[in-house]
Amino acid sequence: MPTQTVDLAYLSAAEAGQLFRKRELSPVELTQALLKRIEATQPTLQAFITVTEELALEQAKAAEAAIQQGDPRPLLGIPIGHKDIILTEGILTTGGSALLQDWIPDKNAEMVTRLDAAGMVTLGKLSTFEFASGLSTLTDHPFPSARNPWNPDHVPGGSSSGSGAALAAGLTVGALGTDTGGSIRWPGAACGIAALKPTYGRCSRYGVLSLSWSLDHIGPMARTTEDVALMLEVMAGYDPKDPASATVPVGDYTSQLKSGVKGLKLGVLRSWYEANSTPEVLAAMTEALQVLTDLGAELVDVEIPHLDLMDGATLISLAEAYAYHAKDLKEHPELYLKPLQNRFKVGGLISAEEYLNAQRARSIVKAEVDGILKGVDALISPTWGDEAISFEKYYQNHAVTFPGPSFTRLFNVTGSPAISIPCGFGSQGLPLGLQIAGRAFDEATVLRISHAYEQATPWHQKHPSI
Amino acid sequence: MIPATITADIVKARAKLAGITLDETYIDDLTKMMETAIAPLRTVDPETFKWVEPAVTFDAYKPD
Repeated sequence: MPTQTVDLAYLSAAEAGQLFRKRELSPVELTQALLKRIEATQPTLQAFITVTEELALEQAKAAEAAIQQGDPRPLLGIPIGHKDIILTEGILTTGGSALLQDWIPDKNAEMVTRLDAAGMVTLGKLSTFEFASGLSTLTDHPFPSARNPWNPDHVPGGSSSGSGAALAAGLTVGALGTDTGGSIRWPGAACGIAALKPTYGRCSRYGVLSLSWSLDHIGPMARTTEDVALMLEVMAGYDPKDPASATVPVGDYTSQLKSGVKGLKLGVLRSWYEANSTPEVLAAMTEALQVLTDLGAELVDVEIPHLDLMDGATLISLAEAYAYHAKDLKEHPELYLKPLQNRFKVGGLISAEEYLNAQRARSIVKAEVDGILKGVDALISPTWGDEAISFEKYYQNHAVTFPGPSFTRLFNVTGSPAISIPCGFGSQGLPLGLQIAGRAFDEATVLRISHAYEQATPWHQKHPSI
Repeated sequence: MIPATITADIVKARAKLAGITLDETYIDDLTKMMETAIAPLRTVDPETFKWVEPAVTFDAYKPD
C-alpha cells in the first residue's frame, strides 16, 4: 500500500474530523482511500459482505458540502461499516446466513438512523458469524468468514468479525457490532481495537436480528477510546421501539475522557483470570495493572462468590435463539450451517425449569457484581485468556461451542458496560485485550479509565502489515 | 427435575420428544455444552439459597 493511503487508513475519527475542519482533508478523499483499501484487501480478509460505494461517495460529498458550510457535528464525514445483522434500508442484510442471502430490508436499525443523522458515511455491511452465533467456513458459504488482519490463518474473533477485521486493517474508521456473550469485545481483543458493549438498555437494538434478546447489546467499535465515546454520544438514549431501552439520562462521554484514573479504585478479577489465561496474557495483565497503578489508580482483588452460575447463560441464550429461529429451523434447516443448526436446535431441548432457574441464577450473579461495584469504580480482567484461535483448531472442535477462555460473558449476564482495548501481543503476534467493566450506565468512567490506559501505552498505535 | 447428569441418551430422548433431529456427529459436543450450562444450577439449593426475584431487573422503560 502507498504510504499516503496507509496514513489515511489509520486516522481516528477525532483526527479526521480536525483535518476536515482545517480543510486539509475531505470526507471524499478519505472515503475514496478506504474504498480502494477495501477492494485490495477483500480477497484476503473478507471483512465486508456488501460494499456501498455509490452511497458512501454520495454521503461523503454531502458531508463535504456541510463542512464547508461550517457544520460542527463531530462525526460528520467519518466512514463507518455496520455488522450485517443490523438492518439497513435498501441495502442487502444477510445476517451472514444463506437464509437471508437476498434480503433487502425496508427500514434502518435505530442505530443506523442515528449515525446517518450524525453525518457518518456508510461504507457497507461487515461480515458476521452466521446469525451472530456460528462461525461460517472460509470458502463454501455465500458469506465466508472474515479473517484476522494480524494473521489470516486465525479467526478475527466474533461474532462482529468483519467489524474487528475492518478496523484493524484500516478499512473503516468506525463500526457497529453486537454482543450477546462477547461478540463486540472478543473481536476487539483479537484484532487489537477499542470495542464497547454498553449497558443493557443504553443503545437501542431496534432493527437488529436477535440472537438472545435478554443478553443482546449493540455498541460502537473503533481504534481509539475517544472514537468509541464520540459514537456512543450519538447512539445512546431512549428509543420506544426497543422494549428494553432505558430512560436513564445520557452521559457526557467525551468531556470526562481526560480526567485520568487518579483516586479511582479498581477491582481486579485476579483469581478468575489467573486460573484461565495463558502465561502471555498473565504477563500482559501484570504490565497493564502496573500502568494503572502508576497512573494513580488503587487496585484491590475481588471475587464473585457464585461466578460459576454465569454458565447458565448458555441455556438462556440457546432457548431464546431457538424461540426466534424455530420456524426457519423447521422449514429450512439446510440453509443453516450444520454446527449452528445443531447448536440452535438444542435450545428446543431445554426445559422451562432449566431456563427459569438459569434466569434466577443470573440475578444472583448480577446482585453480587452490583454489590462489588459499590466498593470499586470498575472491574479489570483480560478480555480473552489467549490469542485468537486458528481456523484449523476452531474447526477441529466441530465449531458447536466457542473457543475460550472468555471473560466477556459475565457482563452480558449482568448487563454492565464493558470495553476491550489492546494491551499487548502474544507469541504468535496476535493482539491481547484488556477488559474494563463498570457500573450500570456509567460508561463515562469505563471510557475514562480506558482512555487513560490507552494514552499511557503504545498498543492502539500498532497496525498489522497488510 | 433437572437430571443428575446430562447424557447423550438424555439429549437424544429430549430431541425425540420435541420432534427435533440432531446430527449424530454433534451429539457429544452438544451434550457437553448442556451439561456445562446446567451443572452449576444443581449446586444451588433452593431451600436454603435466597433467590432474588424478579429474575432480571434493568432500568428499562415502563409506560406510565
